[in-house]
Amino acid sequence: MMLKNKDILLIEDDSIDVMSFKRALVRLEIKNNVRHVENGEEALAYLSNSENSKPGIIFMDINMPRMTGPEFLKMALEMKLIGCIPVVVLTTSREEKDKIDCFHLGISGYMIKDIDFEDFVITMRTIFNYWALCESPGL
Amino acid sequence: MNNQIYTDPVKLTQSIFGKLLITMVMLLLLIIVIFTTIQIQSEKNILVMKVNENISEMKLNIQREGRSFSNSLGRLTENSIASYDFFALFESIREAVDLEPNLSYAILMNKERKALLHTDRPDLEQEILVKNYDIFASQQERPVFQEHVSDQITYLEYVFPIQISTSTWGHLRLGFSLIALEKKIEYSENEIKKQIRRIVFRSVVVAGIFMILGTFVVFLLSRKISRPISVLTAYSIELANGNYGFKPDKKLIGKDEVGRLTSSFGMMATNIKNANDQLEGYSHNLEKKVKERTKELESVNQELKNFAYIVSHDLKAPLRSIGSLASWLKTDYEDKLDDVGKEQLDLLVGRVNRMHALIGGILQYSRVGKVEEITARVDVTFMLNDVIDILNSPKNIKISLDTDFPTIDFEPTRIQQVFQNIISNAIKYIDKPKGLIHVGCKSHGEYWEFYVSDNGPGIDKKYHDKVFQLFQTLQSKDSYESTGVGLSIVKKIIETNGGRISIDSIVGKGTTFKFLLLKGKNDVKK
Repeated sequence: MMLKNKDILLIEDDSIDVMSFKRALVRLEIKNNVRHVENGEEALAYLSNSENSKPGIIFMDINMPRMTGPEFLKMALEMKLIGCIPVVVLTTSREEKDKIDCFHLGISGYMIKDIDFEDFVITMRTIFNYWALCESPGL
Repeated sequence: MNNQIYTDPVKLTQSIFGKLLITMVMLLLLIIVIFTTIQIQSEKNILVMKVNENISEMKLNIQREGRSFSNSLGRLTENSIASYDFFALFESIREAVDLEPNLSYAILMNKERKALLHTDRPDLEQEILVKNYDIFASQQERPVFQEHVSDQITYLEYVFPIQISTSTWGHLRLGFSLIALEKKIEYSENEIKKQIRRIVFRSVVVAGIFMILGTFVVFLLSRKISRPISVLTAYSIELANGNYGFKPDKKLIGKDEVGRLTSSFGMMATNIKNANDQLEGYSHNLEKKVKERTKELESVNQELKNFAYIVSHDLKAPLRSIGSLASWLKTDYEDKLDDVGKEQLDLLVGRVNRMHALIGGILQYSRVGKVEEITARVDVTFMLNDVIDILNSPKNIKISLDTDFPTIDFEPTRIQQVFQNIISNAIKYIDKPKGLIHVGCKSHGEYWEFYVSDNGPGIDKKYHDKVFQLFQTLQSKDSYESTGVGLSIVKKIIETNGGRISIDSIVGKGTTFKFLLLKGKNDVKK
């Protein structure tokens, strides 16, 4: 299975969104470790560090200080840090341009952060159900 | 207006120079012909007069000569008759006829017109003469001249009555032939003809010379007159072609009226050029300004877009956090909160949701006309059925499409937004147990006229403008889920695409939204 006990990497600068994310995982009874970094730069540093285990999935915001989501993704792809890890964008932006930019960078999903927490939980459930079922390459 | 500039050379017959030349040469020719004719005629008259004078003088000469000759011969005859010496008389008369070259004949006849002597016709001697002129001669009492023609020869006859003792015995008639005179006249006439021929030749030569000289002068004159005009013409053509720098040769212009015209023309051209330069300067400036303004506008536009983005992300994020926190408070502290606290938290979440919707509305509204959508073929019937599906109206509301709809070129999501917003409004506000919504379309000149009518509560006329304003709603925001953005977006979409929207409504009976959309070239009405 794709996720098993692998870590989840969350790239998000808004602490309440982080809380929201973690609460959703608690609600969904997902026990995987959540590794949280606050922007693209930190994410690059995290992924480059060989001491850290490779995450099973990456959730990232688009608008972040220092390095935005797409900027991070571009760098990470160039540095071959992503490999087969699915990247899901969690954002408030409905801009067509943002969607196109991200999909061109090979993301696996683009989710809008709902205003309602319950709706957010439903979104998260769908994502995890999907990726829990998804077969990963045997690396 | 004919804007053609004639730059091809003017035909000679059409040019002023040509016209002048032809007219003046014609005039010259006419004058020379008239003068030559008059000259010839008058010279001929003078010649004829001279000849006539000559002839009459000659005639007088003959008469004078004849008279003196006849008088002497007449005396001799009278004497001879008195002395009955006829033989000697006849001899001397015959002698006189032989000697005198002009004297052709002599007739002596008595009172009874019996010819005693007839030098010309001796056979008539002793006969009575009966011709008219014989009778005329016999009647004369005094010496007289008569002219008569005999055998095609004109004779001038001198009739001399012979008086014997106061009574007329008979007549002596001396005929002078006018052959010499006629010869002279004929000669003179020939001479006149020759003379006239000479005169005509001379006149024609003179006229020819005059003609050549005249033509030359006329040519020079015509050129002198027409050249400034030609220069002016060339000048005006250059100006018409926008060559304001062209300056004609001053020597060719002259100082006459045309010259002045050319000078003032040049002045005008200079003024035009100056004005043009000024205009060009202005337009250049204007262009620069327009560019600057456009740049400014572009940057403002960009800022606006950025602003919309900032609103979308940065305003929504804390709002969402507030919402999340409120709902967590409610779940985490459920046992510690009383009903009032819970209700207030619910109200808080509700307002957060409304603000979220407002922000979404602003974004949608600001995107209309800014974000370019791709125009595509839209089958309006198909699209309307889609909209009806999406809206999923309650069972008590019936939506019917009254007419066929065209296929138009439009931004698909925009046209859908228009119908969706209007129809959803109708659904939302219908207050009758059986709701009826009608949608239709008809061709209206260069527009398609669409309508959506309902049997809802209607809108008072004083609110017809208000419903299209951003964030304006007629009902309290709590009673209906409404942000007041929908119709603003509808209006903006229609007007950005060159259309108009209006409301017909009777309060209590229903509302009809009518809107016009400009027809496209490829629109097809089913």
